[in-house]
Amino acid sequence: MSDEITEKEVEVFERLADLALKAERRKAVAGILSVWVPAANELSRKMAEPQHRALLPNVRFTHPAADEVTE
Amino acid sequence: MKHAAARDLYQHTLLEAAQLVEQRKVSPLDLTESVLKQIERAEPKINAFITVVADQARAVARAHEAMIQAGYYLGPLHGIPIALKDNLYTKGIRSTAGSKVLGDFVPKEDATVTARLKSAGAIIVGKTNMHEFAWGGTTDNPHYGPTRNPWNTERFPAGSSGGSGAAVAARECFGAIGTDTGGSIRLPSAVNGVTGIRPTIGRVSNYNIVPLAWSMDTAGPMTRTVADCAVMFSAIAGHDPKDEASARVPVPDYMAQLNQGIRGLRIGVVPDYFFSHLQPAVHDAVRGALKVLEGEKAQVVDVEIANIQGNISAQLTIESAEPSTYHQHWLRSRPQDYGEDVRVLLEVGEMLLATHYLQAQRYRTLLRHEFMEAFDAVDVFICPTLPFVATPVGATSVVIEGGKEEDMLSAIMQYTGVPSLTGLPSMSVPCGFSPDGLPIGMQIIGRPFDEATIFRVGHHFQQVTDWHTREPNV
Repeated sequence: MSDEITEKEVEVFERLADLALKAERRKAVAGILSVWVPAANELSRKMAEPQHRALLPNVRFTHPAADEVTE
Repeated sequence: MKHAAARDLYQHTLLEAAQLVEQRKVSPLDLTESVLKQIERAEPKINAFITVVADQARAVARAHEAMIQAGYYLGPLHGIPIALKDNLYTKGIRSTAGSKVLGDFVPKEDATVTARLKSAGAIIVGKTNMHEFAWGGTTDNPHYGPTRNPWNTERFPAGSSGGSGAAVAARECFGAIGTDTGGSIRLPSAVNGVTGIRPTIGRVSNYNIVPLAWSMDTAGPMTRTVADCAVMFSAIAGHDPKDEASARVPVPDYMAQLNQGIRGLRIGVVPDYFFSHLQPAVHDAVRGALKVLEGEKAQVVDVEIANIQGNISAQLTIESAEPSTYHQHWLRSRPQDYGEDVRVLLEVGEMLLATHYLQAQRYRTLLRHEFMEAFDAVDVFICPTLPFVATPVGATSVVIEGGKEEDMLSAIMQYTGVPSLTGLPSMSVPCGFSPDGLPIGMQIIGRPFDEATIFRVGHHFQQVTDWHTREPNV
């Protein structure tokens, strides 16, 4: 599968996101997605490996665990 | 380049100015007038400020002068002119976040950071320019004009806190507050030759600061010296019940620990990541700094972080998905009011998958575990702050090596993304200059909530080097 995200594919994403872009904007969006999405998929493959199965998302750092406080 | 000799008041460090105020050798009004004159001189070239509140600053300075004369001295920030990045709420002062969308926004309440600085007696002289909504690293702002680097006005000040970095370097204030999601305090600190710290997430309140990415946002000071930085940090650090992510961790006396030295300190480096893919001048300056620290009896230890590769993708995924969520309404109702670069990033952020976002957040956990394990063997990590020196104003790509042009946004986060993802505190400290006279910074990364050790290392480095004392001709 090619890494390139096409302007046609951006249109599909627009529908999913309920975000209507003018045609002239799709080229710039596709250009960035063509670089970022393959890198994100590579990271996803790594994180989907069995040895990482127990890891939780760290969406917000709240109060630290006592053993992380060094003062 | 100038070295400090017979100096005007605005050229003093924050602590030097504080001492003069405490001894009543100068008044807050003297300092404020000196800084306002420097702002008048520098702004036509630098454009570090979106708003200057000269009359209000003078009025506050007079009030503080009266307080001090009456014996009410509040401490080292009392009567000191400072600047705030324009995404911090300031009651009664326009707070645009560098945007047209918030171009007329005048908050009815201060950010907690603003309020704490006011309580410590600081005088706000203005609000600094920034990358629009902090979503970018150049401060090439389409609404308020680009900020320029005081060391070479053809070069950028980095960002997103580029106005704060340039204002400190150009001596337009004694210190400034920046915000940092993926590097936005440390990057402008490095390329403007100043010191700036990104705190541990949760150490400094984000209340009433316009967000970029909720799970990585922080606020911190940018100053001329590490000691000045510790003074400002002491005033803003600590739990804030108004910020749900604020940590209940005691704030130590940073000033008391500054002079404890670095003998025996273990400095970690990840050689195949920290010293690959960077410009030679940056490599040599940071390696030189490590040699200086070794000469001071610190020990440099090579460390492996097995999964450090991948951090830039994780950073970009999180830093685009979260802002796109925050901006969802405005992106549909006022898309034309965004600058082109930010608008396209917000559009891109709507098109990443939830699984991309959550795998990136799980990667943060993995990377943090690896760094926490490594902290058994080291006390701090040191690496470059960014792999290149200041690029021309308006550039969207950069050449790091081999003549190959790279996208600026990905390239600029090579080193600053790691603390942002792991939540670790990190500070950029000046450590050299390129052959063409552009500042270079090194990044000191510490354990969670151990900003004190970072300050100690940075301060010791500044006791045995003079990079931080150099001043641009503005």
